[in-house]
Amino acid sequence: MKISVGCWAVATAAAGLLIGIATPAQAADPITFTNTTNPILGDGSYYSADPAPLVVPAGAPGNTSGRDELYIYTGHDEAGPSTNDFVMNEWGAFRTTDVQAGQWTHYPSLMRPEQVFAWATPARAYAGQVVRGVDGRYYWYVPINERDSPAADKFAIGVAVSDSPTGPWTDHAGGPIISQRVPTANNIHNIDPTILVEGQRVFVWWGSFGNLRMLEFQADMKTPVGTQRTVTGLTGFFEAAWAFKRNGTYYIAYAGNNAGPTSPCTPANYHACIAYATAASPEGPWTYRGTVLPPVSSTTSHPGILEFNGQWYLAYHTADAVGGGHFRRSVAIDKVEWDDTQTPPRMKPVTPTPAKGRDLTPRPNIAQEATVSVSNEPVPTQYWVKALNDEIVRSNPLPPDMWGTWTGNNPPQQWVQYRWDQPMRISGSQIEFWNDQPQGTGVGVAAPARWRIQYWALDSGQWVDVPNPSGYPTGTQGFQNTTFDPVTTTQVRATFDASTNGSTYSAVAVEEWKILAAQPESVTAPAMTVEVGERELPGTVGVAFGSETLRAPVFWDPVTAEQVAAPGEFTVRGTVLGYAAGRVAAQVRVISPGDTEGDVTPPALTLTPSGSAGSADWFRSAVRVRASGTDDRGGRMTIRSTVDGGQPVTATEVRYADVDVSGDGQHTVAATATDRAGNVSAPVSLAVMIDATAPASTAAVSAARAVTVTASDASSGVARVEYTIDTGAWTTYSGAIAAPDTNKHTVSFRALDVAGNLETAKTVTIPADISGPLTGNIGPIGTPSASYTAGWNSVTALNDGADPPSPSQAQIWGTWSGTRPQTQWIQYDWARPVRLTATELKFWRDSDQGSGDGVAEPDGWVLQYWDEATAAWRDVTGASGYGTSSSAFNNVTFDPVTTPRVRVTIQANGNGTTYSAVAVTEWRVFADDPGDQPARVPVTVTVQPRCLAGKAYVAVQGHNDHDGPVRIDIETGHGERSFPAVAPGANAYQSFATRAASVAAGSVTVRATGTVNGKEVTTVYTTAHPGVACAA
Amino acid sequence: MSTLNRKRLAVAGAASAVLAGAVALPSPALAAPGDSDDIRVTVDIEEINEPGVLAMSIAGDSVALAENGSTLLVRQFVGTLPTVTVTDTRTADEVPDGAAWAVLGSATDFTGDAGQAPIGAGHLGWRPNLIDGGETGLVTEGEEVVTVLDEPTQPGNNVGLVDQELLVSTFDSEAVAGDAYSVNANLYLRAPADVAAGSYTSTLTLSLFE
Repeated sequence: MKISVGCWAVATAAAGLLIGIATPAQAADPITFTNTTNPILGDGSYYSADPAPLVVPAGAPGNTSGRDELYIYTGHDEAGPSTNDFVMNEWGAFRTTDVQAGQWTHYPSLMRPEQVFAWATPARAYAGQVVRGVDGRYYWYVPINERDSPAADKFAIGVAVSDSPTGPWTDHAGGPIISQRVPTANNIHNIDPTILVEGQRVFVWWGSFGNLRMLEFQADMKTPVGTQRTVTGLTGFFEAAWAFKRNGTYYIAYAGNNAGPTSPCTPANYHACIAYATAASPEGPWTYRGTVLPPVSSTTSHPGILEFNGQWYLAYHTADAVGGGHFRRSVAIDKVEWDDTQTPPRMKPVTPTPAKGRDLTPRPNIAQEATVSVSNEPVPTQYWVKALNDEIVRSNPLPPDMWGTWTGNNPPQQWVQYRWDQPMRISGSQIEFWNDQPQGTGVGVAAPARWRIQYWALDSGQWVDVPNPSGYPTGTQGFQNTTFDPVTTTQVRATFDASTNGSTYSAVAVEEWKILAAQPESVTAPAMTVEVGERELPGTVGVAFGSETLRAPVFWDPVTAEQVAAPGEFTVRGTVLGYAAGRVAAQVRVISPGDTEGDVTPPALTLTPSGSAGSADWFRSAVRVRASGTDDRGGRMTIRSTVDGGQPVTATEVRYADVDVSGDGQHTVAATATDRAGNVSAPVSLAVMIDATAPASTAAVSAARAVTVTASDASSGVARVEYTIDTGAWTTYSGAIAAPDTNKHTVSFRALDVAGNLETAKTVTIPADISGPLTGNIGPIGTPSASYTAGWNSVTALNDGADPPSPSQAQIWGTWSGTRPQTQWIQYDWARPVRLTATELKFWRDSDQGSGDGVAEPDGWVLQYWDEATAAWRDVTGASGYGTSSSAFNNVTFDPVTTPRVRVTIQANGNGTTYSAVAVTEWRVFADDPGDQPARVPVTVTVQPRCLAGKAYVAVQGHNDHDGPVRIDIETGHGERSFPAVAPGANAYQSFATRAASVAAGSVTVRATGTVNGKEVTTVYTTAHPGVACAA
Repeated sequence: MSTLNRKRLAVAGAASAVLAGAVALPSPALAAPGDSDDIRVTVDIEEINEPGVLAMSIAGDSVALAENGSTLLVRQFVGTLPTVTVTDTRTADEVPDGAAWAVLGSATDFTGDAGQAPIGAGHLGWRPNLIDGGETGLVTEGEEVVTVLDEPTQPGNNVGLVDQELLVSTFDSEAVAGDAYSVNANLYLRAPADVAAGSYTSTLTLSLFE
C-alpha cells in the first residue's frame, strides 16, 4: 500500500474525512469463474490489490478438495474512476487448484477491519498476509487504522485467526501488535506486514515510505521476542515487503522507487519496480539482488511470491482491467523462473503476460509511433515522458500520467518534440494540458500563455510554423484541437511559452499529445512477394497525397507458417499508421527461393538514413541506415555493410539490413546486395554526419555585474549564443551583457550549434547592486536558504514578494517530512552588511497546534544576526516580541544591527512526542542603511570646446571638491596634463589645442587621486563634451 | 572674442637685434579740487568709477637667443621670453558671462641679414612657464610647442610657432578678474646643423583675446 508521496499525505488530510462513508457490505457469496489471462478478474466487476498468496495443502483445515489449493488474499479497490485515493473497505481472496487452467473461486469479502477488530476504524483495508501458524491455524496480519490512537500516524498491525482459510476470523491479540506505541514506540507508517513462520519461530517485517522494520514473535504469533530492528540493504526500498525462503536462502521482495533516467528500477518515482534482496538468515544482513518486475500500469506495485504445485509464481497487481486505474487495481499472476547457476540463486526477470500488443484500430493519430524528446531532460522523476504518447488519458491523473516540467525554478519556455523514421504527412494536433494553477500565477503548473506547433521543413532544414493553424487553445479540460494545412515532415514540435506573473513562470504539463495524419483519398497496398518460409512483410506502403507518395508504416497481421509453407498466394490485412478510414488488404505471392534459372540481373540497393535531422546535413541523433534491396526475381538477398570501413556485417536471406551509426562526427556507410543467383549490386555508400550533443555554454558574472557567455561544441560547432534578461525576448549574444540597472536580474542563456542542437537554457543571476542606501524590505534582494525545504515547497517563496491569501504549496516555504525536528531555520544572505531595524513574517498552517503532525504555528521564533566580529550567530537585542500568527504578519522591531546575514530560528510546536512541521509564506526584513559607497575623490569636471583665433581648443576644468589636496590627471585626445597637487577648492585647468578649425564631440578622462580615510584613492571621471566648429 | 592688444618683439638668433613694441598702459585721469579768491564755490565730485580693463604688457621688446645644447645634427639656440603680464582691473561684474581670456603667440620666419636662406618659424618652439597664476588654478600656461625637427610631445605639437599657439589662458575670466598674472617661456630655435651662419631676425607677436 502506498500513499503516493508525502506531499499528498499532508494535503489530503481533509479529503480523507469525506471518504469515511463506508457502506457495510455483507460477506458476499463466492463466485466461480474461468480466466487464463491477466488480470485474474479483468472485467472491471471487482478491483483487487495487494496480493498475498498462500498454499493450503490438501487435507489442511478448510481444504477438502484433495488437492493443494492456492489462495491469493487481496484488498478490495472501491475508488470511483476519478477518485485519487485508496478506497479499501474489505479483504477478499481468489482460490484455484491450477493456475494454468484458470478456474478460480472468488471470495469478494472475507474480512472487514471494523467487524473483526473492535479497535479499528472502518476502511483502509491495506496490504496484509495470511500464514499458517505454528499451531496450524490461519493467521491474517493486516494494517488497521486504530480508532482511538493519539499517535501521529494511527496505522497499526493487527492479527486475526481462523480455523479455515476463509474464516470466520477473530481478533487474535485484542489490539494492535505493532503501532507507533507498541510493542515499542516508533515513528514510521506501520503497514504492509509480511510473515515468515519457520518451525517455532515467527518473523515479521513491515513498514512503508522507505522504512522497513523487523521483529520476531513467539510461537503464539503475537508476543514479541526482543525488540524491533531497522532493516537495511534493500536498495530503493519503498514498501510492500514480501518475505519467503527457498533452499536455505531468505528472500525479501519489495516495491522500490529509486527513480531516475538511469535507475534500474523506475523512471518515475510514483511508480515502483519489484526488487529483491537475499540473506542467509532472517536477521540479515540483506544484499540487494536487482529487480524482478518492471513498473506496472498502476503507480503502486506489490509482490507475493511462492511455490505452488512445483512452479514458482509472482502475484502482483496492475491497472489493466476494464476501467482500471491507479486506485482501481487488479491482481495478476505470472511464473517466476530461477537462475540456480548463481549463489544464492536469483529470480529471472518476470515477463508480465499477456504481452502488450499494438493497437491496430485505424485512427489518424501517429504520435504513438514517434520517438519523443523534451526540453527538460532529465525529466523530474514524478513525471513520466511516456505518458505523452501512450494514448491513455486518465480522468484524474497523477504526475506520472503526464509529462511535466515543474521544478522550483521554471524557465520561460519548454518544448516537446516527436520524430518519425520516415516523412509523415500531418494536418492536426490534439493536446491535453494539465494544471493545478490558473494562468498568470507564475507558480505551480498552469496552461501555457501561448504555444505553437512547428515542423521540420525537410527542404530548408529548419523549424517552420505549421501553415494556417486554426488556433492554439490553452484549455485544461479535454483535448485542445488544432488543424493546419498539411505538411510533410519527419519531426514536429510544440513550443510552450510558460504562463507568468511577470517575474516567475509556471511549469507546463501535458497528459497526451496526438498528431493527426492527413488522410489520403485511399490507400491501396501493392502485391508483395515473399519466399517460402519468409514471414516478415514490408513495413511500409506507399500512400499518395496528390503527386507526392510517402512510405507510411504498416502493421500487418502476423503471417502464419502455413501461409508461406509452399509457393502460392494469400491475402494479408494490416493497419496503416495514421490512415483512419479502415484496414488495408494486400495479396502476397509466395515464391521458391531456388528459382534462379537465367537470372543475371543484380539487385538494386538503396541506403536511407533515419534519425533526427538537423541543419546543414547534420543528424542530431544516432542514425539508422537502412540498406534496402530489391531483386527482379522477388527473392531475398545477402546484404553486406560496413561502417567507416570497419568489419563488414553480412545479413543473409533479407530484404534490408539496418546499419546503426552512432557517435558524434562524420561516418560512411557502404553496402552491397547479392541475390539468390549470386548477382552482386554495385557498391553504394552514404556519408552520415552526427552531432547529437548540444553545445555547452557557461556564463560568468563580473564584479561590474556584466555577464560573459562562452560556448563550445565539439562536432558541428557553435552557431550562436542567445540570451534573455528576465522575461525579455531571446537576443543573439554579441558581447558582455551589461546589467540594465542596479536591480537583481536573471539572465538566461543558451547556445545553438550548426546542426541545430539547442542547449537547454541555463541562468545566471546578476546580483542587485546594493551599494547604495537601502530602506524598506530587503528580503527580495537577499539569498534565501533554509535548514530543510519539503520537495513540494519552495525556499524562494520566502522572498518572492507574494503573499497570496490561499498560497499553493509552491508558494510557501515548509518543512513537512516523515521526521520533523523541533528546530528549523530560514536565512537571508546579502552581499554586504546592512543596517537592519525590523522584520516580519507570516506562518502557514494546515494542522492544529498540539497535533504533533502536519504544519502548525510554531511555539516561537527568534531573529538572529551574523556577528562578523566574532563569527557567530547572535539574537538581536531589544526585540519587540515574536508573534506566531498564520493570518497576519508578525512584526518585530529590534535594536538596529549591521550584518550581512540574518536567520529566523523557529521552535516547532509538538504534542510531547512529535513535532509539527513549520511553514512561512513570506519573510520581510527591513533596512535603514546609509549605503556603502566606495571611497571616492570628489572632483567636478567641466569640459568645453572653445574657439581661439579660428582654432578649436578643448578646455578642461577639474574643481577639487575634496577636503585635501588632489592630484588631477587630465587625458584628452589632444594632450595630457597632470596637476600634482590641487588645493581644496582650487582647480586644475588646461585648454588643449586641436590645431584644427573644429573638434568633434568626445570625452575626456580625469583621474583624481587623493587620500580618503587614510587610503590613497583614485576616482576616474569620464566627461563628455560636444563638438564645435570655429569660424575662420 | 576680440583681440584686445597685440605686442611684438624681436627675437634674434645668433646676433642681438632690437625691435620696439608699443606698450599702451592706460593712465587713470583724476580730477582735483581747485582754489579761488572770493567766492567759495564748493562742489562734491565723486570719484570717477572708471571701468576696469583687461590688458597685457611685456617686460621687454627683444630677446637674443644664444647657442646652447647643439648636437651633431641640430644647432639649438635658447632664450627666455620676457615676462608677459595680463592685468585685469575689471570687477567680476564687469566681465561678460562666459568670457575667458587667452594669450596666443606666433612668430615670423627668421630672416638673415646677409642674404642667407630664412629659417622657418616652425623651427622656433617654446615651453610656457607660469610665474604667477594666482591661487584659483584657473590660469594655466599653454602646453609646450616643439619644433618641426622634434617628435611631438603632445598630439600634433611639433609645428613650431608658425600659427598662433597658446601661451597662457584662463578657464573663466570672471573668476580671475581683478588680479594680474604673469608668464614667460623658454624659447628654442632648432635648426639643422648645416644652417648658414649669420644673424637672423624674427618677430614674435603676442595677442590677448577674450
